[in-house]
Amino acid sequence: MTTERDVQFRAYVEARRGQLVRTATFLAAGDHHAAEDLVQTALMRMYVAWPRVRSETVDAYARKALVNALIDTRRAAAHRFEQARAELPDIPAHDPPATETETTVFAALSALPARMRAAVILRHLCELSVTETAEALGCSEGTVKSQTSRGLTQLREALIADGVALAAPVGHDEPATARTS
Amino acid sequence: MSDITDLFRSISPDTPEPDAATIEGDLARGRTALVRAHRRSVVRRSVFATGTLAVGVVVAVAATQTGGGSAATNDAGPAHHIKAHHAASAVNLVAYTGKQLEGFTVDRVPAGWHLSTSTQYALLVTANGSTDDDPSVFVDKLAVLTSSADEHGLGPGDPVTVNGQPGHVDNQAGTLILRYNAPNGFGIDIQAPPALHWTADQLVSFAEGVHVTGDAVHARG
Repeated sequence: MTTERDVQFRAYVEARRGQLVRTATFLAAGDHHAAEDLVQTALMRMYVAWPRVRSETVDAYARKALVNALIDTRRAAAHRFEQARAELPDIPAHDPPATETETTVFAALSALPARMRAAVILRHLCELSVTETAEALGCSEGTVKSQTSRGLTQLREALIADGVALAAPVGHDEPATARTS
Repeated sequence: MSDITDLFRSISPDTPEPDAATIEGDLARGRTALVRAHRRSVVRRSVFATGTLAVGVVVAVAATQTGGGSAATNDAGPAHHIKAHHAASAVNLVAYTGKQLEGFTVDRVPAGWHLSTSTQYALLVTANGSTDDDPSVFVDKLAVLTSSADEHGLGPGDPVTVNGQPGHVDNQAGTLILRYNAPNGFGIDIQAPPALHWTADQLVSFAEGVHVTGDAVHARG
Protein backbone atom coordinates (compact mmCIF):
# COMPACT_ATOMS: atom_id res chain seq x y z
CA MET A 1 0.00 0.00 0.00
CA THR A 2 1.35 3.43 -0.89
CA THR A 3 0.67 6.03 1.78
CA GLU A 4 0.78 9.80 1.64
CA ARG A 5 4.08 9.53 3.53
CA ASP A 6 5.49 7.39 0.71
CA VAL A 7 4.35 9.79 -1.98
CA GLN A 8 5.81 12.84 -0.24
CA PHE A 9 9.03 11.08 0.70
CA ARG A 10 9.57 9.72 -2.81
CA ALA A 11 9.08 13.20 -4.27
CA TYR A 12 11.56 14.65 -1.82
CA VAL A 13 14.19 12.01 -2.54
CA GLU A 14 13.75 12.47 -6.27
CA ALA A 15 14.22 16.23 -5.99
CA ARG A 16 16.90 16.51 -3.32
CA ARG A 17 18.94 13.31 -3.16
CA GLY A 18 21.60 14.61 -5.58
CA GLN A 19 22.19 17.67 -3.41
CA LEU A 20 22.39 15.52 -0.29
CA VAL A 21 24.98 13.26 -1.92
CA ARG A 22 27.02 16.31 -2.89
CA THR A 23 27.01 17.63 0.69
CA ALA A 24 27.70 14.16 2.05
CA THR A 25 30.66 13.74 -0.29
CA PHE A 26 32.29 16.80 1.25
CA LEU A 27 31.35 15.66 4.78
CA ALA A 28 32.95 12.29 4.02
CA ALA A 29 36.01 14.08 2.60
CA GLY A 30 35.58 12.62 -0.87
CA ASP A 31 34.82 9.02 0.15
CA HIS A 32 31.90 8.24 -2.17
CA HIS A 33 31.03 4.99 -0.41
CA ALA A 34 30.89 6.69 2.98
CA ALA A 35 28.88 9.54 1.47
CA GLU A 36 26.30 7.10 0.11
CA ASP A 37 26.07 5.48 3.56
CA LEU A 38 25.50 8.87 5.17
CA VAL A 39 22.71 9.72 2.73
CA GLN A 40 21.02 6.34 3.14
CA THR A 41 21.13 6.63 6.94
CA ALA A 42 19.86 10.20 6.91
CA LEU A 43 16.99 9.39 4.54
CA MET A 44 16.02 6.32 6.56
CA ARG A 45 15.75 8.43 9.72
CA MET A 46 13.81 11.08 7.82
CA TYR A 47 11.25 8.53 6.64
CA VAL A 48 10.60 7.42 10.24
CA ALA A 49 10.27 11.03 11.39
CA TRP A 50 8.38 12.23 8.30
CA PRO A 51 5.05 13.13 10.01
CA ARG A 52 7.00 15.43 12.35
CA VAL A 53 9.10 17.07 9.63
CA ARG A 54 7.67 20.40 8.53
CA SER A 55 7.83 21.12 4.83
CA GLU A 56 9.49 24.51 5.39
CA THR A 57 12.34 22.96 7.39
CA VAL A 58 12.76 19.66 5.59
CA ASP A 59 16.14 20.60 4.06
CA ALA A 60 17.46 21.73 7.44
CA TYR A 61 16.25 18.44 8.90
CA ALA A 62 18.09 16.54 6.16
CA ARG A 63 21.35 18.40 6.78
CA LYS A 64 21.08 17.74 10.50
CA ALA A 65 20.43 14.05 9.81
CA LEU A 66 23.52 13.94 7.58
CA VAL A 67 25.72 15.53 10.23
CA ASN A 68 24.35 13.19 12.92
CA ALA A 69 25.03 10.23 10.66
CA LEU A 70 28.61 11.45 10.14
CA ILE A 71 29.23 11.87 13.87
CA ASP A 72 27.61 8.49 14.66
CA THR A 73 29.81 6.88 12.02
CA ARG A 74 32.95 8.39 13.53
CA ARG A 75 31.96 7.17 17.00
CA ALA A 76 31.24 3.66 15.72
CA ALA A 77 34.50 3.55 13.77
CA ALA A 78 36.41 4.19 16.98
CA HIS A 79 35.55 0.72 18.30
CA ARG A 80 34.72 -1.27 15.18
CA PHE A 81 37.37 -3.41 13.53
CA GLU A 82 35.25 -5.38 11.13
CA GLN A 83 31.60 -5.45 10.21
CA ALA A 84 30.15 -8.82 9.17
CA ARG A 85 27.13 -8.62 6.88
CA ALA A 86 24.70 -11.31 5.81
CA GLU A 87 24.02 -9.42 2.62
CA LEU A 88 26.00 -7.23 0.29
CA PRO A 89 25.48 -3.46 0.67
CA ASP A 90 22.30 -2.31 -1.03
CA ILE A 91 23.73 0.04 -3.60
CA PRO A 92 27.36 0.15 -4.66
CA ALA A 93 28.59 3.72 -4.78
CA HIS A 94 30.62 4.60 -7.84
CA ASP A 95 34.02 6.23 -7.68
CA PRO A 96 34.19 8.92 -10.33
CA PRO A 97 37.69 9.95 -11.29
CA ALA A 98 38.89 12.79 -9.08
CA THR A 99 40.78 15.79 -10.35
CA GLU A 100 44.03 16.76 -8.71
CA THR A 101 42.38 19.70 -6.96
CA GLU A 102 39.57 17.48 -5.68
CA THR A 103 42.08 15.02 -4.28
CA THR A 104 43.97 17.79 -2.52
CA VAL A 105 40.87 19.48 -1.10
CA PHE A 106 39.37 16.24 0.18
CA ALA A 107 42.68 15.21 1.73
CA ALA A 108 42.81 18.54 3.55
CA LEU A 109 39.19 18.13 4.68
CA SER A 110 39.83 14.60 5.93
CA ALA A 111 42.49 15.99 8.29
CA LEU A 112 39.86 18.06 10.11
CA PRO A 113 37.89 16.54 13.02
CA ALA A 114 34.37 15.54 11.94
CA ARG A 115 32.46 18.35 13.67
CA MET A 116 34.97 21.00 12.56
CA ARG A 117 34.73 19.70 8.99
CA ALA A 118 30.94 19.80 9.20
CA ALA A 119 31.02 23.40 10.45
CA VAL A 120 33.23 24.48 7.54
CA ILE A 121 31.10 22.66 4.98
CA LEU A 122 27.77 23.89 6.28
CA ARG A 123 29.05 27.47 6.34
CA HIS A 124 31.07 27.51 3.11
CA LEU A 125 29.49 24.87 0.87
CA CYS A 126 25.85 24.98 1.97
CA GLU A 127 26.26 28.68 2.84
CA LEU A 128 24.19 28.43 6.00
CA SER A 129 24.18 31.23 8.54
CA VAL A 130 25.93 30.78 11.87
CA THR A 131 22.52 30.27 13.50
CA GLU A 132 21.46 27.63 10.98
CA THR A 133 24.79 25.85 11.32
CA ALA A 134 24.51 25.85 15.11
CA GLU A 135 21.05 24.31 14.77
CA ALA A 136 22.34 21.61 12.44
CA LEU A 137 25.29 20.79 14.68
CA GLY A 138 23.33 21.06 17.91
CA CYS A 139 25.82 23.49 19.47
CA SER A 140 26.13 27.18 20.31
CA GLU A 141 26.79 29.88 17.72
CA GLY A 142 30.08 30.64 19.47
CA THR A 143 31.20 27.07 18.93
CA VAL A 144 30.28 27.29 15.25
CA LYS A 145 32.36 30.46 14.86
CA SER A 146 35.41 29.05 16.61
CA GLN A 147 35.22 25.67 14.87
CA THR A 148 34.81 27.30 11.47
CA SER A 149 37.63 29.76 12.07
CA ARG A 150 40.05 27.03 13.11
CA GLY A 151 38.90 24.77 10.32
CA LEU A 152 39.41 27.42 7.67
CA THR A 153 42.88 28.24 9.00
CA GLN A 154 43.95 24.58 8.92
CA LEU A 155 42.35 24.06 5.53
CA ARG A 156 44.10 27.07 3.94
CA GLU A 157 47.44 26.08 5.38
CA ALA A 158 47.12 22.55 4.01
CA LEU A 159 45.93 23.72 0.59
CA ILE A 160 48.63 26.36 0.20
CA ALA A 161 51.25 23.81 1.23
CA ASP A 162 49.97 21.56 -1.54
CA GLY A 163 50.16 24.35 -4.09
CA VAL A 164 46.45 25.21 -4.44
CA ALA A 165 46.02 28.86 -5.38
CA LEU A 166 43.41 30.60 -3.26
CA ALA A 167 41.83 33.96 -3.83
CA ALA A 168 42.22 36.42 -0.98
CA PRO A 169 39.65 35.62 1.71
CA VAL A 170 36.82 38.13 1.83
CA GLY A 171 34.03 38.93 4.20
CA HIS A 172 32.63 35.52 4.98
CA ASP A 173 35.16 34.26 7.52
CA GLU A 174 34.46 33.85 11.18
CA PRO A 175 36.10 36.13 13.76
CA ALA A 176 39.27 34.38 14.93
CA THR A 177 38.63 35.59 18.46
CA ALA A 178 35.29 33.79 18.79
CA ARG A 179 34.75 32.06 22.10
CA THR A 180 35.29 28.34 22.22
CA SER A 181 32.10 27.05 23.82
CA MET B 1 31.34 34.39 -0.70
CA SER B 2 34.76 33.24 0.53
CA ASP B 3 37.76 31.80 -1.27
CA ILE B 4 36.85 28.42 0.21
CA THR B 5 33.29 28.67 -1.07
CA ASP B 6 34.70 29.42 -4.53
CA LEU B 7 36.98 26.42 -4.26
CA PHE B 8 34.22 24.08 -3.08
CA ARG B 9 32.02 25.17 -5.95
CA SER B 10 34.76 24.64 -8.48
CA ILE B 11 35.20 20.99 -7.53
CA SER B 12 31.54 20.10 -7.38
CA PRO B 13 31.57 16.28 -7.26
CA ASP B 14 29.63 14.29 -9.79
CA THR B 15 26.20 13.66 -8.26
CA PRO B 16 23.83 12.14 -10.81
CA GLU B 17 20.07 12.28 -10.33
CA PRO B 18 18.82 9.19 -8.46
CA ASP B 19 17.35 6.41 -10.56
CA ALA B 20 14.15 4.56 -9.68
CA ALA B 21 15.98 1.68 -7.97
CA THR B 22 17.86 4.08 -5.70
CA ILE B 23 14.68 5.86 -4.68
CA GLU B 24 12.86 2.58 -4.03
CA GLY B 25 15.84 1.44 -1.94
CA ASP B 26 15.57 4.56 0.23
CA LEU B 27 11.85 3.95 0.60
CA ALA B 28 12.34 0.29 1.53
CA ARG B 29 14.97 1.10 4.16
CA GLY B 30 12.68 3.76 5.63
CA ARG B 31 9.73 1.38 5.83
CA THR B 32 11.85 -1.27 7.53
CA ALA B 33 13.15 1.26 10.05
CA LEU B 34 9.60 2.44 10.74
CA VAL B 35 8.43 -1.10 11.49
CA ARG B 36 11.39 -1.57 13.84
CA ALA B 37 10.55 1.71 15.59
CA HIS B 38 6.92 0.67 16.07
CA ARG B 39 7.99 -2.71 17.45
CA ARG B 40 10.34 -1.05 19.92
CA SER B 41 7.55 1.26 21.03
CA VAL B 42 5.13 -1.66 21.62
CA VAL B 43 7.79 -3.60 23.55
CA ARG B 44 8.49 -0.58 25.78
CA ARG B 45 4.78 -0.24 26.52
CA SER B 46 4.49 -3.96 27.22
CA VAL B 47 7.43 -3.88 29.61
CA PHE B 48 5.92 -0.90 31.40
CA ALA B 49 2.56 -2.68 31.75
CA THR B 50 4.21 -5.85 33.07
CA GLY B 51 6.22 -3.82 35.56
CA THR B 52 3.14 -2.03 36.85
CA LEU B 53 1.30 -5.31 37.34
CA ALA B 54 4.30 -6.83 39.12
CA VAL B 55 4.39 -3.92 41.53
CA GLY B 56 0.69 -4.48 42.24
CA VAL B 57 1.31 -8.15 42.98
CA VAL B 58 4.19 -7.34 45.34
CA VAL B 59 2.13 -4.75 47.20
CA ALA B 60 -0.86 -7.08 47.50
CA VAL B 61 1.18 -10.05 48.70
CA ALA B 62 3.11 -7.88 51.17
CA ALA B 63 -0.15 -6.54 52.59
CA THR B 64 -1.42 -10.10 53.08
CA GLN B 65 1.75 -11.31 54.72
CA THR B 66 2.05 -8.38 57.10
CA GLY B 67 -1.60 -8.35 58.09
CA GLY B 68 -2.23 -4.97 56.51
CA GLY B 69 -5.59 -3.93 55.07
CA SER B 70 -9.09 -4.79 56.19
CA ALA B 71 -10.33 -8.07 57.54
CA ALA B 72 -12.11 -8.76 54.29
CA THR B 73 -8.93 -8.44 52.23
CA ASN B 74 -7.03 -10.63 54.69
CA ASP B 75 -9.49 -13.43 53.96
CA ALA B 76 -8.89 -13.26 50.23
CA GLY B 77 -6.11 -15.10 48.37
CA PRO B 78 -3.36 -13.49 46.28
CA ALA B 79 -5.38 -13.86 43.08
CA HIS B 80 -8.15 -11.76 44.56
CA HIS B 81 -5.65 -9.09 45.57
CA ILE B 82 -4.27 -8.91 42.05
CA LYS B 83 -7.73 -8.43 40.57
CA ALA B 84 -8.76 -5.93 43.22
CA HIS B 85 -5.56 -3.91 42.77
CA HIS B 86 -5.95 -3.87 39.00
CA ALA B 87 -9.54 -2.67 39.19
CA ALA B 88 -8.83 -0.16 41.94
CA SER B 89 -5.95 1.44 40.03
CA ALA B 90 -8.04 2.32 36.97
CA VAL B 91 -7.87 6.11 36.68
CA ASN B 92 -11.30 7.77 36.64
CA LEU B 93 -12.28 10.68 34.43
CA VAL B 94 -12.89 14.12 35.90
CA ALA B 95 -14.18 17.33 34.33
CA TYR B 96 -11.43 19.40 32.74
CA THR B 97 -11.49 23.11 33.54
CA GLY B 98 -7.96 24.15 32.55
CA LYS B 99 -6.67 25.85 29.43
CA GLN B 100 -7.46 24.15 26.13
CA LEU B 101 -4.70 23.67 23.55
CA GLU B 102 -4.41 24.04 19.78
CA GLY B 103 -6.34 21.61 17.61
CA PHE B 104 -8.59 19.98 20.20
CA THR B 105 -10.77 20.64 23.23
CA VAL B 106 -11.54 18.07 25.91
CA ASP B 107 -14.39 17.85 28.41
CA ARG B 108 -12.76 15.30 30.72
CA VAL B 109 -9.27 14.08 31.60
CA PRO B 110 -8.05 11.22 33.81
CA ALA B 111 -7.86 12.31 37.46
CA GLY B 112 -4.34 13.52 38.19
CA TRP B 113 -3.52 14.06 34.51
CA HIS B 114 -3.27 17.27 32.49
CA LEU B 115 -3.03 18.51 28.91
CA SER B 116 0.70 18.41 28.19
CA THR B 117 1.17 19.65 24.65
CA SER B 118 -0.50 19.71 21.28
CA THR B 119 0.09 20.28 17.62
CA GLN B 120 -2.46 20.67 14.86
CA TYR B 121 -2.62 16.88 14.59
CA ALA B 122 -1.83 15.56 18.08
CA LEU B 123 -2.90 16.24 21.65
CA LEU B 124 -0.95 14.61 24.47
CA VAL B 125 -2.22 14.17 28.03
CA THR B 126 0.24 13.17 30.74
CA ALA B 127 0.22 12.35 34.43
CA ASN B 128 0.86 15.30 36.73
CA GLY B 129 4.56 15.41 37.52
CA SER B 130 5.63 14.13 34.12
CA THR B 131 8.30 16.35 32.63
CA ASP B 132 8.16 14.83 29.16
CA ASP B 133 6.36 17.35 26.96
CA ASP B 134 7.96 16.21 23.70
CA PRO B 135 5.10 16.28 21.16
CA SER B 136 6.69 13.46 19.16
CA VAL B 137 6.92 10.96 22.03
CA PHE B 138 3.72 9.07 22.87
CA VAL B 139 5.02 6.43 25.27
CA ASP B 140 3.12 6.45 28.59
CA LYS B 141 0.88 9.27 27.37
CA LEU B 142 -2.79 9.48 26.53
CA ALA B 143 -2.53 10.55 22.89
CA VAL B 144 -5.22 11.94 20.58
CA LEU B 145 -4.16 11.97 16.93
CA THR B 146 -5.78 12.91 13.67
CA SER B 147 -5.35 10.24 11.02
CA SER B 148 -3.55 10.78 7.77
CA ALA B 149 -5.91 11.90 5.03
CA ASP B 150 -5.15 8.76 3.04
CA GLU B 151 -5.93 6.37 5.89
CA HIS B 152 -9.39 4.88 5.76
CA GLY B 153 -11.12 2.18 7.74
CA LEU B 154 -11.22 1.50 11.45
CA GLY B 155 -8.50 -1.12 11.64
CA PRO B 156 -8.60 -4.13 13.95
CA GLY B 157 -10.43 -4.31 17.27
CA ASP B 158 -13.80 -4.65 18.96
CA PRO B 159 -16.66 -2.48 17.69
CA VAL B 160 -17.76 0.48 19.82
CA THR B 161 -19.82 3.62 19.27
CA VAL B 162 -18.41 7.11 19.90
CA ASN B 163 -21.00 9.89 19.83
CA GLY B 164 -23.06 7.77 17.47
CA GLN B 165 -20.11 7.06 15.16
CA PRO B 166 -18.68 3.55 14.74
CA GLY B 167 -15.23 2.83 16.06
CA HIS B 168 -12.88 -0.02 16.98
CA VAL B 169 -10.89 -0.56 20.16
CA ASP B 170 -7.80 -2.73 19.94
CA ASN B 171 -5.69 -3.93 22.87
CA GLN B 172 -1.97 -4.05 22.03
CA ALA B 173 0.00 -5.37 25.00
CA GLY B 174 -2.11 -3.36 27.45
CA THR B 175 -2.24 -0.22 25.36
CA LEU B 176 -5.77 0.50 24.15
CA ILE B 177 -6.10 2.06 20.71
CA LEU B 178 -9.43 3.53 19.64
CA ARG B 179 -10.04 4.57 16.05
CA TYR B 180 -13.23 6.33 15.01
CA ASN B 181 -14.44 9.07 12.72
CA ALA B 182 -15.22 12.45 14.23
CA PRO B 183 -18.37 14.25 12.98
CA ASN B 184 -16.31 16.87 11.08
CA GLY B 185 -14.64 14.23 8.92
CA PHE B 186 -11.42 13.65 10.83
CA GLY B 187 -10.37 10.10 11.54
CA ILE B 188 -9.23 10.03 15.15
CA ASP B 189 -6.86 7.63 16.92
CA ILE B 190 -6.73 7.68 20.71
CA GLN B 191 -4.02 5.68 22.45
CA ALA B 192 -4.48 5.00 26.17
CA PRO B 193 -1.37 3.75 28.01
CA PRO B 194 -1.45 0.69 30.32
CA ALA B 195 -0.93 2.97 33.33
CA LEU B 196 -4.57 4.11 33.09
CA HIS B 197 -5.90 0.53 33.39
CA TRP B 198 -8.87 1.58 31.29
CA THR B 199 -11.58 -0.55 29.82
CA ALA B 200 -12.85 0.11 26.31
CA ASP B 201 -15.89 1.86 27.84
CA GLN B 202 -13.68 4.27 29.78
CA LEU B 203 -11.68 5.06 26.64
CA VAL B 204 -14.90 5.71 24.71
CA SER B 205 -16.13 7.93 27.53
CA PHE B 206 -12.97 10.03 27.22
CA ALA B 207 -13.28 10.09 23.42
CA GLU B 208 -16.83 11.42 23.62
CA GLY B 209 -15.49 14.51 25.35
CA VAL B 210 -12.81 15.16 22.70
CA HIS B 211 -13.64 17.76 20.05
CA VAL B 212 -11.52 18.54 16.99
CA THR B 213 -11.35 22.30 16.42
CA GLY B 214 -11.01 24.25 13.21
CA ASP B 215 -7.24 24.60 13.41
CA ALA B 216 -6.61 20.85 13.41
CA VAL B 217 -5.15 19.25 10.29
CA HIS B 218 -4.69 15.71 9.06
CA ALA B 219 -1.43 14.11 10.13
CA ARG B 220 1.15 13.60 7.40
CA GLY B 221 2.00 10.02 6.63
